[in-house]
Amino acid sequence: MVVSALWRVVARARGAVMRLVGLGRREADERAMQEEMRFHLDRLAQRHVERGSAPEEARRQAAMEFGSLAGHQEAAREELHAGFIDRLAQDLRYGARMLARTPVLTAAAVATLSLGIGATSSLFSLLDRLLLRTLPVRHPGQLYAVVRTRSSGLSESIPYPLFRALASETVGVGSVAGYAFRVVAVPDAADSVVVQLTSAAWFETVAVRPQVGRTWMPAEAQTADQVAVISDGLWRRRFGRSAAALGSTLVLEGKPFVVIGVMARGFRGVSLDYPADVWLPMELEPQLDGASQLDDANLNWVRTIVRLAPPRRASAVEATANLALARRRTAGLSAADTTERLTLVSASRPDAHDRSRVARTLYLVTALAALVLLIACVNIAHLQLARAATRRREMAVRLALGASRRRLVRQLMTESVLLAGCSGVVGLVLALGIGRLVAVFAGGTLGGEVAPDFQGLVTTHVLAFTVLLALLVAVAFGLAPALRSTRVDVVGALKQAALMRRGAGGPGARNGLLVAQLGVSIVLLVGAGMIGRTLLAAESLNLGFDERGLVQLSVDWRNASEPQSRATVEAIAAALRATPGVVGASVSVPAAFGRPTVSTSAFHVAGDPSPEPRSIEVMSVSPEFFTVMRIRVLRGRAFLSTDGEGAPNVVVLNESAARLFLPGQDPVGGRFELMGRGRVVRVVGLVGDARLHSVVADPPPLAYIPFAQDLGGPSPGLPTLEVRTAPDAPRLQELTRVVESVDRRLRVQAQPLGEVIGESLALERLSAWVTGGFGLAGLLLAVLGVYGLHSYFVTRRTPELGLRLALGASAGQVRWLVWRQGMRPVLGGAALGLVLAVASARLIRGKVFGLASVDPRVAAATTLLLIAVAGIACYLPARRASKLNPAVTLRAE
Amino acid sequence: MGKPEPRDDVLQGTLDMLVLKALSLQPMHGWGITERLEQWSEEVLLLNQGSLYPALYRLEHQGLVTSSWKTTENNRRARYYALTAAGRRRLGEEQQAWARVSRAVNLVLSVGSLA
Repeated sequence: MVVSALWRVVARARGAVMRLVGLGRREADERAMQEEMRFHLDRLAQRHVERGSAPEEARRQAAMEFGSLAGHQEAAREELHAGFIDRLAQDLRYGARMLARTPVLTAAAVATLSLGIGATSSLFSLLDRLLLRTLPVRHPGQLYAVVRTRSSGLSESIPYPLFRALASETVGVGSVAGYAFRVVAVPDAADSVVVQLTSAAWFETVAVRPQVGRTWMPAEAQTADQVAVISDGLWRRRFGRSAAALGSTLVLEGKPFVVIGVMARGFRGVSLDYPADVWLPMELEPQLDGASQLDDANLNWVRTIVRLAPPRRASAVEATANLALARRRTAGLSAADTTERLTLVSASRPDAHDRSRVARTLYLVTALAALVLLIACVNIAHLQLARAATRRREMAVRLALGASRRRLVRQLMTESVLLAGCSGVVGLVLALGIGRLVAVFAGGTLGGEVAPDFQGLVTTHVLAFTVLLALLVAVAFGLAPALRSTRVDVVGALKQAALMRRGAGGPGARNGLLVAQLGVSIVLLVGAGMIGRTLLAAESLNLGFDERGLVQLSVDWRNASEPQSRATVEAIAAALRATPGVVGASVSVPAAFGRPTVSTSAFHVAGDPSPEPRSIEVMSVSPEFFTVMRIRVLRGRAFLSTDGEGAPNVVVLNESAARLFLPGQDPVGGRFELMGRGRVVRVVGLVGDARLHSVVADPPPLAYIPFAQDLGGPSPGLPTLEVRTAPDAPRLQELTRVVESVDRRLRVQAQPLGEVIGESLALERLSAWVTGGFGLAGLLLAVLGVYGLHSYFVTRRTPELGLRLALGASAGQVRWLVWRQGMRPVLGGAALGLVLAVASARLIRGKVFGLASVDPRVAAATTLLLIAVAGIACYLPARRASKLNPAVTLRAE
Repeated sequence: MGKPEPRDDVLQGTLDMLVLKALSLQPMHGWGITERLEQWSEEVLLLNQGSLYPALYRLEHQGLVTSSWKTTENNRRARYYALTAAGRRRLGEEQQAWARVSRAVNLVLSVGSLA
């Protein structure tokens, strides 16, 4: 909607530009010509009537005398057309010559504008990619996701039996499909792959077809044929795009699956977080998980996507779905409470866990880029105004020679469009470069898969955006100066004396522009400062654990001699502990700062009369984990080696979990039911909150379960090891060698946890760099603006200043006079900027991590910086003014 | 401004000059120009009326005339053409050139009658 509104505005602006440039005139010309010739014919006929002909006869005579109407119109049209082409070519030639006459200024203008256009375009393409673009399927607007809302929050997943009920009850109103993700190892593949479990209807629902082979029939899924559809990427990596792939076997979790189809190139499913490489029938879930969740009526793990049949509305499907839910509840088939409702939300865009966070940051950064562009435009408007002033005589001469004002405005606008056009081309090239840079910086954060795709950046969207942006820019900076500078007092301008007056674009307008420009620069600088500070704050935040000296070992289990087992993992941990320089080693599933965990579980306090289950994150860790990570145990105990298979099931809660489930109580000794896993667990300990998944997000309620105990349910990921090293730390290679000594075929990647955390802050770091860069660019542009404008003023006032010097003013007095005049708009701009900064900080409060209100120190520092630099920029022309030779300046007059 | 077009068509060049001349007194519309030229030439010069308009558009884009819409005495909208400064200058040049050529032609033609 935003985009279409933007399109409409842009289309209207384009219409205006076209009319101005002259394309739209052709229609008007045509109408005028018709009317004019009709008038002539009427008068001719009238003369014949006056001479005594009958009206009919008169008309005939007139037509004869006039000659072939069509022929004359054609000839006239040719003249009009030739006129138009001529004028355009002439304007372009002339414009190019004028721009070439001041090569340095033109180059500076193009550089400035292309930076602004490039930055804005590249960010727009990122926005487009992440937030605006819909799924690459037919009618994405018909797609909806089913989410569960209830008093305690929102869940994107539902239990499998409920999904089946929905699918059968909503037959006819649309097609319904379920899916879920698993991350599993594939032998010989470059990385672990994302498997998407899908019901057979998914392909049809999303409306995607394999490029080779086929997808499975519902019947095939029922008979538990182990079939798989793979992505184009996996086809290339694993099968070299060979046709022999169809019918080959793919081994996942030790089970063979027969490849029956390959999806279209680039298609990775509907999630940016989980770009799928393999699609398996949902019914094969037990094969992957080792235990079946298919019959569990309360475990939420299936995401549902619905394609509405066109006349149907989301509300109709919602009603049917809620009816199905209510029926299951009364039949005792679901533990869902009565506040629970199913809601359909649009799924036309790829699903992304981080979307809102990325979106906020991106919108902010894009807004900043637009500000830089705005400053650039203002700068160029200055430049054009100053140039227009020096061209006043030229304008006056042309007006006196009979050129129309419209013609001159068009001429000046042609120059602006020429300038903006060049900048648009350079900007697009820059956008490609910036895009690549962003991809490098953002790396894994922006949904891992964005980066590779981001390389081929110029889509029609982006191209259209850049072109329209360039045109808008041309109008924005070109129109006002063009209108102003053609409003010339011809006689006055032709007289040399007129140069004494301040002329086109009076000081008021220009100082206004300068104040606005400086104000925006301050906002940019303060913004950059705030984001930089936020990053520093994030990096020095108390994480709840001590990452110094910690190394994370990610083990690649794919080539392991034996299937990955708890025993192997424990053997590796033991070998690490025996290594000199290693203080401790522990195991965790999933990895700290790994992919977003899928392991959310419903939790229920035993004996609590409220039937409402609540969700909690689950992390499986070995007994040493808390010691190794230095997470404080606040109450009770950590896990012991005795908390193993066969022993009573125990959990350790973090503070957030304790607050959520047993507010104000000591959780130790409390009993919980892990819904969907059919186990009652006892709380044995309470530990401090630790930011194990994200620095910037608040720690979620988390239940630690012992690595040695199997609580059922899907594996939350692959086991990862944490190693705490002594100051004389063993080198990372030594650690990997220890792992490989356990099983030579294991591959392992060792990385200091500090680095892992740093990478997780890529988005924040990127925004800090980008805003910092924009802030500096804005400052540079503003200062150039101050310098340029002020030098120009000094040049204009040369006769007056010369006179002052001649009359006895001291160099110091002149310097002070000129400097003071230059600093006035600077101070105005600084004041405006501070107000704007406070206002905009209020606007984005709470939207970006840690960005609450303007930090007075940051604001003061940036303002002083700007004033200081502007002061220097004003001083240089002032010094030049004080060194004028009065004799020379007065003689020139 | 636009370069003067090379004139290989004497008649066309003449038409342009006559139009400029007609406009040198006051701004007028296309029909007015036709009437005025007929009147001045004592109905000898009868224009091919329709070809007046391409000529006017050409003169306009050369910057020799400008046009604007006005209401006639009979309350109809008509496009009035007016001479620009450049047009006035061009008229002067054309008139001199014409005078030179016609004098030369007359001189040549008068040779026989003297003998």
